[in-house]
Amino acid sequence: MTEGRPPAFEARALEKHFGARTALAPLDLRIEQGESVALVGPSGSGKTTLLNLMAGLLAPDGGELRLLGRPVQDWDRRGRSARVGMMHQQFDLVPNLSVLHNVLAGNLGRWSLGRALRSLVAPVGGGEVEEVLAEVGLEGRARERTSRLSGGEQQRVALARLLVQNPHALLADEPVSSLDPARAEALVELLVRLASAGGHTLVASLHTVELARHHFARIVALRDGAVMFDRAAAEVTSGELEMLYRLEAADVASGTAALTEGV
Amino acid sequence: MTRRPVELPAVAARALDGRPAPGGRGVLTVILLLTLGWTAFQVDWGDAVPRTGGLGVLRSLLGGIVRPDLSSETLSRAVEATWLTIVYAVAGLTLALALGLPLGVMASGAIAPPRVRRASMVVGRGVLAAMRAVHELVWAWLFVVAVGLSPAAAVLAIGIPYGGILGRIYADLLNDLPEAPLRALRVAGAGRIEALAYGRVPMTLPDLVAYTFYRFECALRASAIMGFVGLGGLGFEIQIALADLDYRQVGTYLAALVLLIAAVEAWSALVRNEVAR
Repeated sequence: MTEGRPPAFEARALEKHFGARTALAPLDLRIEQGESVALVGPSGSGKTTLLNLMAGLLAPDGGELRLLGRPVQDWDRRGRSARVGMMHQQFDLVPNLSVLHNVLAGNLGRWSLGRALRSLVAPVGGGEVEEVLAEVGLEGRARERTSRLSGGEQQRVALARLLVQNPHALLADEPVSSLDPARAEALVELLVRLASAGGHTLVASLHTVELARHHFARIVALRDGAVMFDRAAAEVTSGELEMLYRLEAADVASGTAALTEGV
Repeated sequence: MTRRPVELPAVAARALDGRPAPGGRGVLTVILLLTLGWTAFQVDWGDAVPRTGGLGVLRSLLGGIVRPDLSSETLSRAVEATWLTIVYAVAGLTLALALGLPLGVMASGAIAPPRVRRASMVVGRGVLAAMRAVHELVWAWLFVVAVGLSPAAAVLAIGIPYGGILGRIYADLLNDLPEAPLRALRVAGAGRIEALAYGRVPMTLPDLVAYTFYRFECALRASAIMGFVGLGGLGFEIQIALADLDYRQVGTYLAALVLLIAAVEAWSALVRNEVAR
């Protein structure tokens, strides 16, 4: 850790509740700039909530969460989009737009409104998009309608948009859970490689623990909204992972509820 | 498929609360059906065809539709009247778009800052409701009284209520959208107007176009109706032909109206295909 360089993310006694349910109990976490961190844990452990808080999509109910030294909520939209960006499980692209425009949307945080509107008609920066699409393995596909692409290809478009946005920290919420194993591995590999090449901090939630162990430097395990363990990926043991995902008697009793909730 | 954790049980609970209980819905259905049945008895049906000789008129009318007047004089009048009907409809719908688009966006609350979002929706929806509360034919009477038998009266009479209808539908379409792609745009740094341009409008474009075309079709019919208050067009010709008891001419003008609507439908299908591709 370098002196005077604020951590990418710093959570202190961070809390989030949805009604009566506690999504995150007081949680402390520090992620340095340039780290690659995998969030693992069972469904409902708070991974998505934590990522949404990091992206500024949710506001904390207690404690604080700092992004590069400043509370996430204090950054204005343009400032925040230069520092943190996110890709989701369901890609979250606009299906009726071309691949080109979906990727160009990564510029919306730095473009003026006039430029953004002009670019819908006469796209600005098509050359850069072509380069980024080549990086994610979609060269020459810019003019296609996004809904025509397969799931794996759409997730690469979402990654391309994130690369064009080029924020300091890249967040990924279950980025590969709707892909088959081979495509999932390829996409995680690509994500980690591009993040490290660009000097980005990377935080990704994954439900495949093997992907987390093989591709990330550090693993943070969440259970019931709190950190269960947090260490270098190489040091995580199989016994610990078994503990993390083991159903407790109470969980089994409420298993039906948990299943319906998870749909 | 149980992996996506539910992060918003509060929202889900609210959605469930808003749904009436199954028993309550059944009661509602019975009440609605009873109301429907009751209204049938409230109509004074009298005799189905009260005028003596009415059946004969109906027969002549049908005969006219089967054998329309195809003389060059009638045909050229039909073409002229059709053209006038199209012009009123296009001008009226253009005005409706100019009014309905901005008011619809306002009523959707999509680009209003959070503080004034409610106000924007209430005012927008109120104005749109007032515009469409009055039927186009009533607007036509009002404008004929105000500005006389001029094309402006017809255009205004179509443009105002249709603007209200279009705006209302646009507002609903722009509001009722999957949240996820919009959230992703927000994280990418999009403001409300950027999210409208890069998210809401493209996501709803096929519906926006299809509905606008449907309204254009309605505008053509409304434009033909304008003839009955003396503003010219197919309705005017039909009225005169009826007064002359020339049912074959009536048939010609009705056929022109049918052809016109069919042509618009074909054009609309073409454009919808283009947008959906």
